[in-house]
Amino acid sequence: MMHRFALALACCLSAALTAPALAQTVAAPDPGVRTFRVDDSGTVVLDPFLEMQWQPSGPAGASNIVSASTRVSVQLNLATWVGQVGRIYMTLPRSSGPTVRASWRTGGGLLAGSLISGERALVYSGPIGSPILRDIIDLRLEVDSARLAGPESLSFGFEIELAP
Amino acid sequence: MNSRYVPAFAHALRETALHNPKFRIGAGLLALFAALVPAAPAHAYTITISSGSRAIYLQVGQGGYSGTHLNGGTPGNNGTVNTVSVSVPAGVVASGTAQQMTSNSTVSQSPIDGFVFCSPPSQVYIGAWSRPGGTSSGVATLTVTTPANLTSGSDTIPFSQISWTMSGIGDTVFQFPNGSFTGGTQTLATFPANTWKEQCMTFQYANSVLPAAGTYTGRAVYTLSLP
Repeated sequence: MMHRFALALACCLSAALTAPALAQTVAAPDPGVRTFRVDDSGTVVLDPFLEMQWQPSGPAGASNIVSASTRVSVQLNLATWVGQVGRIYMTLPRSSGPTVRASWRTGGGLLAGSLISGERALVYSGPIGSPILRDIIDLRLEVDSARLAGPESLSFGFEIELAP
Repeated sequence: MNSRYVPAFAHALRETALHNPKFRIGAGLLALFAALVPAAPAHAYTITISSGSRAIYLQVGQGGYSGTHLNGGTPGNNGTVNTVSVSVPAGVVASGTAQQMTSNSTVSQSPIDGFVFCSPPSQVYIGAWSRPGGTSSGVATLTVTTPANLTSGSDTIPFSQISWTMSGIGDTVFQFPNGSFTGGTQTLATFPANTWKEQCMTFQYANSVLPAAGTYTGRAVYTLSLP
């Protein structure tokens, strides 16, 4: 038992040390919370059509992972929830295509982070003080090249959780 | 508990609709209204990713990339045929001691990103990629074809006397096998969709035959094909 406890503690410490500033990836909402889709129709993708590129070869030789980056001007309509406290997540639904890893840096209004398709990641937590939340995110997408047979459309979204 | 009553209520509505024309008209108007309601705001931003148009690229020794791929370089043709050679001193001919060969290739950098990967002249860069494009998931194949012998006039040395070892600076992933020429067509690698493989070849002459004095030549032809 002691051994198992020590192992779990070490695991948590390791996670905390390696990614303290990144957004938390959460698979499922907590029970009891209310979850709503956020209107992000004001969001604009700088280049929504990306041709994936091979990664730098480095000492391991060429990689099977291909990647591409773009910039997204995020605009979330939070008018409905002004004055409440909430958590906002970015989502990327799983599709029949290859698994995609998305990682991003932000301008500070949202949290930086990463997610795998099928997951969601926390990008904001706290009081909703303004009807519109804006930020610029630099989004990087990675995928296993051998599984990218044809063009794949990735539909990102946002959802908000309100405390019960 | 409530769910037990819902089916009965729904059944009653269906009965009413079937037997009361006014109700059916009402249902039609309801559907029309729903179609006229403005669409709700979009709840997703969409990014489309693709691997690009159908293409393949093969480089053995000197290549045709303008710049590096990651800096926007594009592949092109290069007609250079590099040479790998060795001069065996008369005193050690057929000694069985392998002789390392050297090339006239000067390529040291990966065309992917400029990483210094190979050490010419002892090493020859080999790299290739395949991009089936569209919805194809075709697999490309890299082969090398050699004649049975190196020749010097009517004298010969079996091409199988030449072998190669794959490596690269800091390399940990071996993407092509070591081997020796067989005097025919050999498959070196297959390329799943959108794959780039690269390595550096070091050639050796086995020096286990006793040929007549002379300069023996032969050509190995590398071919990348995508169905």
